Amino acid sequence: MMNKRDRIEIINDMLNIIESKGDKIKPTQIMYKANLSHEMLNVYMKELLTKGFITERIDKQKRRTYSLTEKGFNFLRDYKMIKSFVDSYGLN
Amino acid sequence: MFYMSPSWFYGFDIAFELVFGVISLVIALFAFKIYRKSFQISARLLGFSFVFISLAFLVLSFFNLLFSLKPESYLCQSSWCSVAVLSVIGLYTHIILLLIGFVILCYIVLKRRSITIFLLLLGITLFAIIFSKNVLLTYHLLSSIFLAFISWCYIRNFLANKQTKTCLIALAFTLLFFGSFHFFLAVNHALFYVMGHFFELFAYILILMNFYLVLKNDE
Repeated sequence: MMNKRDRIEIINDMLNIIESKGDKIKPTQIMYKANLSHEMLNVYMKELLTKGFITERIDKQKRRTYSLTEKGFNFLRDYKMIKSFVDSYGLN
Repeated sequence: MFYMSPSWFYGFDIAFELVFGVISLVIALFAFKIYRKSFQISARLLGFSFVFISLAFLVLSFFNLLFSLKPESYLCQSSWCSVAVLSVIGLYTHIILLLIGFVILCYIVLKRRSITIFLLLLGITLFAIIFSKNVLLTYHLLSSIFLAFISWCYIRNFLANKQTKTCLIALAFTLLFFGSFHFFLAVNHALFYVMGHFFELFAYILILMNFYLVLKNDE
């Protein structure tokens, strides 16, 4: 059985999924690929937007798509270090 | 300043405390950096706890240095700046800063985010110190209880997540607990004062080793 992911792992998974799809990913795709419930998706998307990890775009058909910001890329780059520190002190 | 320290250890204790203060400050600054990158609230709290711990050791180191330089020669004898008054100020500042650091660490490992719990822990701790008849004894008792609890939580963290880094932190806090317990005995026996410092030194070396592994991302 897989271990339950902690908050920082979920954020990393979501950002990796958004990065892999460039600028064209929709919220439902993130939800399925990150294996999240609709409620959890909303909570995490709101957090990622508020903290400036991702930006939202609305196209002509009023569809929302998401892309990574500089902060989001930095998080992915430093993820191993962040995770390592957080695990050491049981901060998750 | 506050304990029975063997004469041959004068100066070494100041250096030890300075080292503990600097290592704690490095960990605090790194925790704030992790917070800026991840927005993990616990990382910021860890940063604050290590800032308090660092300040506590820097203050202790400063006052120990001040009193080792024969203060009677340059301090006034009967006013607010007398040796006795400064000694009490130094002692209380160190104790309060260190205990605030431990309270924040306890709050982190409790994993219950409630400001009421935090204020209750802090209130009881400060109340016990301010109204204690024997401040040193109460301080060492409280430190030992906090460190025993923190160590226990970090040992559990290691058992749930068996990595070198979690092991180092669990060992470090267990050594800090032993160190604190030895300071408890040091009020009457000089040798325990030295042993307490060495336990703390080993603990901070382990914290530093963990920091190095985190930077290296080496598992």
